[in-house]
Amino acid sequence: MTPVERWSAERVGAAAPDSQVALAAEKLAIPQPWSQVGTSGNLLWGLCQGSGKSPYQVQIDLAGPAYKCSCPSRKFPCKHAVALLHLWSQGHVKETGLAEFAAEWAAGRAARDQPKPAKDAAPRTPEQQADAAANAEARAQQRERRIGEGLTELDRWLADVTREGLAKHSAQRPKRLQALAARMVDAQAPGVATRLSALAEVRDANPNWPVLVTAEFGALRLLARAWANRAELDAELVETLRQHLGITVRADDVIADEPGVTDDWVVVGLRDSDEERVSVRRVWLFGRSSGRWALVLFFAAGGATLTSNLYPGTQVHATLHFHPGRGQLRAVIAHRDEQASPVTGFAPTAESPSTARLRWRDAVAQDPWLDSIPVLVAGELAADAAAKPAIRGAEGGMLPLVGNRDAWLILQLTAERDDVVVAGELGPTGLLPVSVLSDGAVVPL
Amino acid sequence: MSELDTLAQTFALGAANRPLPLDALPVPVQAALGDAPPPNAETLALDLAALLATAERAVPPVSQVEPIHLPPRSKPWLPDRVAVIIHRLCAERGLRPLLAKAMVEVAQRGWTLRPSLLLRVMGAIESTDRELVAGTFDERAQAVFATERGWGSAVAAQQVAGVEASDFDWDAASDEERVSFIDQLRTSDPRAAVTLLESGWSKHKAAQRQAFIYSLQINVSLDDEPFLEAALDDRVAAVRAAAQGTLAGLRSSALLGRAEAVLAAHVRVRNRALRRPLVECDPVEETPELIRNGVVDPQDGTAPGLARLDQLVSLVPSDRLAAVIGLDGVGLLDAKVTYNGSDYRFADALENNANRWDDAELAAALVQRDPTRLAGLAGLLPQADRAQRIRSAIQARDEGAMRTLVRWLPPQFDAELAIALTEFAVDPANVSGSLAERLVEMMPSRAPRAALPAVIAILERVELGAALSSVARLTTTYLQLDKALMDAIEEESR
Repeated sequence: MTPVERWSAERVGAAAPDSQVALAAEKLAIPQPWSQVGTSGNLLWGLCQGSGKSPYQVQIDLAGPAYKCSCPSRKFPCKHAVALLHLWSQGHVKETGLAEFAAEWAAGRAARDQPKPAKDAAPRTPEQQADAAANAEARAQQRERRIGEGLTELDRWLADVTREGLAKHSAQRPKRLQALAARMVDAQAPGVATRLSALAEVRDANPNWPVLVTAEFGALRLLARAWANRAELDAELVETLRQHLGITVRADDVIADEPGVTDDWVVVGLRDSDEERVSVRRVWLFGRSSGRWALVLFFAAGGATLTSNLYPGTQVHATLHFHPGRGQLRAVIAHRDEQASPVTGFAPTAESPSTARLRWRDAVAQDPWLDSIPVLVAGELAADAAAKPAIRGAEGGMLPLVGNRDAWLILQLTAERDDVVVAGELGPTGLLPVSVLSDGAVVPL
Repeated sequence: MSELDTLAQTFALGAANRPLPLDALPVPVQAALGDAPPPNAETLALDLAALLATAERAVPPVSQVEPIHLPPRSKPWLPDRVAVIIHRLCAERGLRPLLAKAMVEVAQRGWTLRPSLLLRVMGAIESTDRELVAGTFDERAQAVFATERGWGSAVAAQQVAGVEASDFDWDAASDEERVSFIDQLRTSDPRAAVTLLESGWSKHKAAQRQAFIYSLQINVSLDDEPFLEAALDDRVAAVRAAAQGTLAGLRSSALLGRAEAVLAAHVRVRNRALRRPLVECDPVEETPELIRNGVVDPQDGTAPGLARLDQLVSLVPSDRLAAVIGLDGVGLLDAKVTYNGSDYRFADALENNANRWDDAELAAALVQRDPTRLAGLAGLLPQADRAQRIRSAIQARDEGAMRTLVRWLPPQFDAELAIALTEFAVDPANVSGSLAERLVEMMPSRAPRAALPAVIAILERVELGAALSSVARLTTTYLQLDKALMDAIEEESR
């Protein structure tokens, strides 16, 4: 079996759920407490002596990645699993035959991964099929009705507040918005709920609060009116609208209904964010042959760790199916090779800042609620008079670079010279860099 | 102000209170709103918000920008095999000496750290070791961090290291670079440094002038006196204070001469032949000259005349005291002193004096007469004296004495001391947690390699509390990582 390419220290550190586990794992990443460590193919295992009598059994499947440890920690992956990853990345774990405990775990995983037999193996009768279709249609109609009622209530509230003025009940606004968010969840429009919860965080202490609230009122108004008039809109825009409202499309349906695009997909970058009770990982892919962008989302609920098997700077051969909707980049992976490989010889055509601006403008015209688009921008690192970072194109156009101070330091140091090709997310405030292209490779920031 | 900003004012006050006139809107906006007039003011405002917000989102901010003109990257990245070990060294405070050593090794081999590791090391390293990290910077990183708070002077020191005076562009240099250059020049040609500072002196900012004065403490001599005397009249108090402090450390300076004259006028020694002479002291009045010399009024409520007297006693070197008042420092310590007719002791002033002039004899006398002064003076005692006191503290299992002496332990232990200190640290009956941890933490960097197996054996033999166990583990880890680091560096350097 081909050995898996060892992860860098940064990638191992990124697997930890928080900095406490990351630090504890580094301290444990010494040979002393470990025994029976080994690796075979994607599997990694070892025994780690803790304070108790019996050592903890640790198993890792690098393909998932998936982790298992017998320690009582509620953090996932625990410090033992991350420490074992460190030991492996440092070359302290040798290829060897499977330990018994590792073999048992691997067998259990393989059994769970077997496709389950259909619950109802017998084909449905035409009557049963008609009933199922009618039930599905009834549920869909009920959902649409609930959304309509919820958005009508929201529209009414927006009008009331606009008439009386934001300053009038300013102190109660956050609480009212949270209540409306809960109402939108009941109305099966969780996308609107997320927007309302975010708006509730804009407090009067922010000097820009009137503009921020006005702008978001406008976006919410547009959502409400678009839904009310959806019969007059084209089908693609309606799909886009549904996605912004949070009407989920099942991955199986996307795979079944939308054509697949098979390509070598370069993992250009990723960005994690926390939304309400869910953590979201956005992974941007670029097809080397198709030249298409794709966005793959991973979720973790209730404080669980985000895990994904796509790491920036690698590429994977896969078939993606794209969600329906205008300019839709979100995709589902139907099939993929197990192993990713490092990116080499990657030299796609990059845009100038001016061209990227035009593409963003056109994208917003197609989808007014769009957060961002992926871009590859070529230019020179620059700054304005207040030392705010930017990228300037040869044609004279510019884009402000957003992100914190450390991110700017890392970008300046990662780039070999000031002329760069930066991959990132372009949105209303500017370009958020996620990686730099250098000598055919993708260097994550 | 954008149209959305203007609209936000309507939203804040309320569309009913501040309606928007439809015909005042730009024509394209009116067209986008459609032919039918909105039913009410709030509908118009909301629809307008939808339009304007979308339009504004579609155009990221634009500003005038200029290239940052950083030099290209010029050093190869640190090999991954060494990088993973350095990541590990950042994880624990007790490994910082090894982290500093790693930076020296990395710099010597011409490698530079990848950005995420570099930022981590910059957060973990002791502030006194920043120049070691700056030593790994290539030109691009130097330019990035030249103006970064806390790192500018470390970068400047690297940039001017080895630069010939004739090659240094004083006018184009940054403040930190100039100070670093003066520091460097003072070691090879002190006079040239003063000449360089003299031209354009008044044009430098106060903070720069102050920093330059401190630089003159390197190889300070009477040749620097005219320049420093002139700085006593600087318009900024901080610069004057820097000059006062520098001149006060220069034996035979005119400033000390003036202090001696005032002291002689206010201190009289009687019955010199007696075992315990009588010393009569008068209050010292405030004069412009004393202020210029840096003799300041107290902030703690002490009588000003007495406080000035104390400052003068602490200023004049002990051996010069004998010429000025007829008694040296030890003599003054043992004399019967009266101030304004009341008994007084100059012990505190003499302790300051001993520290200022590294006076081991005076320090030993002070400690002998008052053992509580050991904490402030142990560093001045002769090495043999300190070593004896440490051995006595270990033998007597005297935790109090060891607490006083711990900061004066030698930078490198011999094997006997390393083993004795370890035995002392693991004795729970006599040594409390924090002192024990501090002693054991020193072992990896101060104990000789040959003694470390014996040290580890002691730590493993005894049942240690949780905190001390982790420190003991750290000792073992330190050794393992030190070996791993050097092995990896050697292999990657081939």
